[in-house]
Amino acid sequence: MTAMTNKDLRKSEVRKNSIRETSLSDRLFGALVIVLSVLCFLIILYPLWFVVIASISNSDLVNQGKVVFWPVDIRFYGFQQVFTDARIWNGYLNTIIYVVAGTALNLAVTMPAAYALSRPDFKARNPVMLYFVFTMYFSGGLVPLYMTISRLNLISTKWILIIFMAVNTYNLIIARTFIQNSIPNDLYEAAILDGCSHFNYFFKVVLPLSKAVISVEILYYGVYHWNDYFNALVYNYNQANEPLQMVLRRILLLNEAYASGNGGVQGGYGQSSADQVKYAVMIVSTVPILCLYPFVQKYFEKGVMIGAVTG
Amino acid sequence: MKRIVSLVLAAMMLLGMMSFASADEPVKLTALFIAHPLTKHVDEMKWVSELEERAGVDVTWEVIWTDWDTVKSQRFASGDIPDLLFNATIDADYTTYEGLFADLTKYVDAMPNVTAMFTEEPDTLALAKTLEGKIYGLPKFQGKWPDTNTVMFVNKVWLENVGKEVPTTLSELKDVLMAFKENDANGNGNPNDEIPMDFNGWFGGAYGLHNLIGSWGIQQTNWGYYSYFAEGGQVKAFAVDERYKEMMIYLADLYANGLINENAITNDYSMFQSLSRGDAEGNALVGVVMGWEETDKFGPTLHSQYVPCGPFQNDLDPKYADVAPRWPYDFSGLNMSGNRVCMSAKCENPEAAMKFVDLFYGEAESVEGLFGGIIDGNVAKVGDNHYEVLPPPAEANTDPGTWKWTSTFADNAPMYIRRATRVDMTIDMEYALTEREQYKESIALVDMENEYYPQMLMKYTAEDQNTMAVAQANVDNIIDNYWGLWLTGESDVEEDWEDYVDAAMAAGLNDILQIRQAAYDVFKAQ
Amino acid sequence: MNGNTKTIVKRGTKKGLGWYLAKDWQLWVMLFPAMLYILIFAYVPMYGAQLAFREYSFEAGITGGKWVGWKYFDQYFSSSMFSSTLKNTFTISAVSILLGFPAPIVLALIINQIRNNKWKRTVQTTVYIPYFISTVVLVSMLNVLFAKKGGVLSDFMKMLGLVPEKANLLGQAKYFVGMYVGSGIWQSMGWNSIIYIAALSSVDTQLYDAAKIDGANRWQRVIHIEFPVLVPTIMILLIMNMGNILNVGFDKVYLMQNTLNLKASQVISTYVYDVGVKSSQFSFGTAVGLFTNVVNFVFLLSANWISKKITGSGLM
Repeated sequence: MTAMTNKDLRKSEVRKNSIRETSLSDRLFGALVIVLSVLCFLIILYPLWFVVIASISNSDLVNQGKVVFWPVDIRFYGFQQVFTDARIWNGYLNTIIYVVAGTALNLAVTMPAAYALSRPDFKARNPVMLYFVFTMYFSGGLVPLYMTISRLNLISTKWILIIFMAVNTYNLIIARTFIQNSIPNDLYEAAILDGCSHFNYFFKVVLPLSKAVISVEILYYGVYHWNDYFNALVYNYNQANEPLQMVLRRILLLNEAYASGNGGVQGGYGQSSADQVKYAVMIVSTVPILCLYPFVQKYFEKGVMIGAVTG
Repeated sequence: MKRIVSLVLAAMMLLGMMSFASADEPVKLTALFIAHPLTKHVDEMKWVSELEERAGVDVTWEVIWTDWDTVKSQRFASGDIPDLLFNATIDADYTTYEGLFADLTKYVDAMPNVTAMFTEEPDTLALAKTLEGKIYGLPKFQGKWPDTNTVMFVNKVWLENVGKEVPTTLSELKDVLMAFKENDANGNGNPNDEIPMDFNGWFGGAYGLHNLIGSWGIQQTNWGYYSYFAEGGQVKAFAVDERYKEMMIYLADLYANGLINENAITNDYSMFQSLSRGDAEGNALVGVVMGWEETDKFGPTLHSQYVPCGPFQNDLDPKYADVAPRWPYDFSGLNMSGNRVCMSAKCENPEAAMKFVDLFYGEAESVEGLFGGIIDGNVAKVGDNHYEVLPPPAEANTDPGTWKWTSTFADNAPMYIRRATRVDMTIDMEYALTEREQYKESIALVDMENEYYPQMLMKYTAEDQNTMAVAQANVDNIIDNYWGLWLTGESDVEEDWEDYVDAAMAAGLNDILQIRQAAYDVFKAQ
Repeated sequence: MNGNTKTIVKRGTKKGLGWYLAKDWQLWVMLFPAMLYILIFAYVPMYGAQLAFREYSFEAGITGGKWVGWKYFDQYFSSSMFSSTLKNTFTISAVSILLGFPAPIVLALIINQIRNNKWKRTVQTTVYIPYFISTVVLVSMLNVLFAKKGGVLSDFMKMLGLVPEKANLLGQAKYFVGMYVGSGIWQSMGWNSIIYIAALSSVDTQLYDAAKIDGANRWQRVIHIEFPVLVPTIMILLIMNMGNILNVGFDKVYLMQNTLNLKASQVISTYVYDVGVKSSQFSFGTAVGLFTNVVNFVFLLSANWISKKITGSGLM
C-alpha cells in the first residue's frame, strides 16, 4: 500500500516537472523522444512477435512466409516436445544452481579486483591490467585448457560449471571504469582521514554506491551462466549435471537432424510442425531469464546513487 | 623371436580366456555411442543387453546426442576415451591421433560375421583399410537402400490440367514448366501461385539442379562431391567442364523465364521441404522438384499427385542426339559407410570387446541394429532369412519412418545386412524403391570400370589430405560463387567462363585432380 | 592510514618496494582470487599456443610435435583467399563499429529522456530481449522475413523505396554487410545500452537543477550533462571494440552464406573452418588464430594509446 502511494507520489512529481517545462524547443524535443522510442520499440517488437506466432503456427506456412501478423493453423507440437522431455526439469534445477552460485562467485571475485584496479594511487595498476587484458587475446586453445581442468579433477563435476569464468576481463573492466568514474574521490580522501582501511572503504562506501554496476554485472554474468551450454558440453559428460541449455539443444537438434537432405538418414518427416520446435525452444529458454531484468532495473533509476551518498 | 612372440600371445589369450572362464564374471567394458538426437539411451535397448550377455561382457554406455564434433578434439587429444567407440570417428582421426586407436586387423580372423562381410562385399574391406593397410574402424553394409538418392518428381495433376505429358527431353521439360507458369495449374483460381520448379543446394547435394548434368552425358557417382567424376578412367571436375557451361546456359534461360523458384538459393532445407507440402488450403505449389521419397517430400495427402520423371534426353544440340542421359548413382554412399565402431588402444580386453562387436554383424542382429530389436517389438522374424519391420504401436506416437531412430542405433549401427536377407520394410521405404524404377535403365549404363568413382574409398596420405583441404577451400570459393551468379543472370556464363576456369585451376584444382587421379589409379588396380 | 600518508602519496616521493607492498597489501589481497583464476585457467594452458609452429602429433603431445616454424602462417598468407578474407572481415567489423557502436548510446540517451515511467520501463525491457535469440533462429527469421519473393520485411522496404524493386537482400553480395550489421544492431543494441543506462544513473541531480536555473533546454542538458557522464564508459568500450577488429563470429556468417553473397561473406573464421576444422587440422587453426589476435591486440594498444593522448584516460 505504501509502495503504491510512493509510486504515485513520484509520478505526480514527474508530471509537475513536465508541466513546468513548456518551452517550444523542449516540447519539440519531448515529441522527438516519443517518436524515436516508439519507432525503436516497434522495430524490436515485430520480430519478437513473429517468434511467438511462429512457435504455435503450422511451420510449413511459416517457412512459406504466410504467417505474418497472426498465428495460422495453430498447434502446440513445439511446446509439447519441450515439456514432455523428462530431463527438462532437472535441467532447470541445475541451471538455477549454476546461475545463482556462479554469479555469486563472479561478484565476489570481480568486485574487489575492480576496486583495486580503480585506485589511481595503486602503482601496479597498469601491469596488472595488462595481465588481465592479455588473456583476452592470447590463449593456448581448448585442448590444453581441457587437460588443465582434467588434472584438477573437475571434469564432469558441478563445480567446473560454477567456477568456469569466475572472472571475465570485460566485466572486470566495466566495473572498474564505473567505480573509478562515478564514485567521487573526495569520499575516499574523507574516509582515509577517518582512518578507514581499503577493506572498510570498499564494503562501507564503494559497494553501496555501486548498486547500478553490480546490477549490470549480475545481469551479464547471470545471463552468461544461463545461456552457457558450451562448457557443459565440453567439460561434463554426466547427464545428472546437465543444464537446461543442453537439454534444449538436443530437442532443437531433433528437428534439425532431419534437415540433412541425405536419403540415408531420412525419417518420416510427417508432422509439418517440427520446425515449431526451434521457436518454442527459444521462448522456453528466454522467458525465465527475462524475469531477472525488472529486479535489477530499479537500480538504474536516476538519483538512487546520490540519495545513498547524502543518506 | 617369432616363436617367443607367438608364445606370449598364446599365453595372453589363454589368460584372457581363463579370466572369463574362471569366474563367470562378465568382462567389464566401457563404450561410447554418438547417437541421432531422437535415439533413446542404449541401456533401454533390450536387444543390446542380450548381445552383452551372449558375449559375456558388461558394458557401461555413454551416449552423446549433440555436438560430438565440438567435443571430440578435447576428448581425443587428452586420451580420455572408453574401450569401444560407436559412430565416433572419421578416417582423418586415425592419422591425427595416431596411437590412440587399436589396429583391428589381427582380431578380424576371430570375427566370423565381419569376415563374412569383408569376403562377400569386398568394397567394405577397401573402405575399412587405411593407406598403410591397417583397419581402425569397422564399416557397415546395409544393402537394402536404393542406388540413387535423387528422384525428380513432376505433378501429374498439373500436367493433366495444362494438357501435357510427362517430359522426357530438356526442351519438353522447359515446355511443361512454361505451361505450369502461364496457367492456373493447381486450379485454385490464382494463376500466379505456382512455382514451376524448385531446388535445394548444389555440388554434392541430392536435390540441386546440377544433377541434370547427366543429360550432358556426365555420370555422377557417390554423390559427386565437389563435382568430381570419372570418365574414361580420368578423374575430372564437371564444374570446369564445357558441358557444365552448356547446362548453366540452359538453366539460366529457365530462370530468366521465371521457371525456377527465386527464393531457392536462399531457402534452407526446411523451407525447401515446406514449400512442397502445399498451402493452407491443400493446393500443391510446386510443379517439378527433386526429393528422397514422395510422402517425405509432399506430405501425407499431396504425395499422390506426384510421379517420378527423368532422366531427360538432351535435344538442345544435335551433337547429344546419341548420348544417353545419365542419373546419379549413389549405391555405395547409401549402403556403406566406414567407422561404425573402433577400439581404444588401451582396451584391456580386446578379444572380449571384439567378440561383442562381431555379434552386431550377425544376420538377425544387423536387422535389429537398423530397425530395432526383436525382443523390443520392433522387428519380427517371419522365416529363414526373412524379417518384417513392425508398425509402431499407437502409444509410441510416431510414424514408421521415425520409429527406428527412436528405438535403435538405426543407420548409425555397425551392421551387415546380407543381400540374401529379406526384410519387409515400412511403406515409405517401399515407395522409395518403386519410384526409383524410373532410373533403372539409366543407372544400368554406369561403366563400373571407368566411371564408378566412389570418393569414400580413396585413400590419401596426411600430407595430400592437408594439401587438398586447403586447395578445395580455395576452389570452392570460386565454383560455389559462380553458379548462383550465372543462374540468376547477375553474371554471364559465356563471358566469365575462361577466366573462371583459369581461376579455379590456379586456386589448386589442378593439384587436386592430380592427387585424386593417383588415388583412383591405385583403387582401380586393386 | 592517516593524513600523512595521503600527502606523501600525492607528492609521489620515491619509496622502496617494501613500502608499496605494505601500503597496498590490501589491494593485492582483493586482486588475488581474480589473478589466481586467470593464472590457472588462462596462463597455465597457454603453452598450447606453440602448436601454431608445430605439427600436431598425438603421441608426442602438444609440445612435442615437429617444429615447422612459419609453415602454417605461410599457408594462410600465400593462399589466394588471404586478402579477400582479411578485407571482408575488416569491412564487416569496421561497419559494425561505425554504425553499431553509437546505436546503444543514442538508445540509452533516448530511454533516459522518456518522462512517462511506465512507457520507459516497457521500452527498456523490450529492447534487450532480442539479445536472447539464438543465431539459428535469427538466421531462419531473416530467411523468412527478407526472402526475395514474399518476404514481409523485404516487401515493406521495397514499398517504402528503401531498396530497388529487384533487390535480393539475402542473395546479393552488396547487401550482405548491411544485413549482417543491421540484424546485429537489432539484436544487441538494447543489451549494450544497459551499461550506459546504468552509467546515466550516476548523474548528479544537482547539475540538472543548476542547468534549469541557467535556462538550458533539454537538448542542451543532454549534450552538456548526460553525454559527458558517458564519455569514460564510451572510451573504454570503444577501445575494447577496436581490439575485436578481426573477430567476426563464425556461426552467423556461416549460416548467412550462400552462392550469391560469397564474395562479401567469406571471412577469416569461415575460411579457417573450411580448411582447418573440417579436416581436423589443429595447427592451421591455431596459427590463423594467433595471427588475428596479434592484429587485434595491436589495434587495442593503439586505440588505448590514442585515447590516453586525447582524453587522458584509457584502459591501461
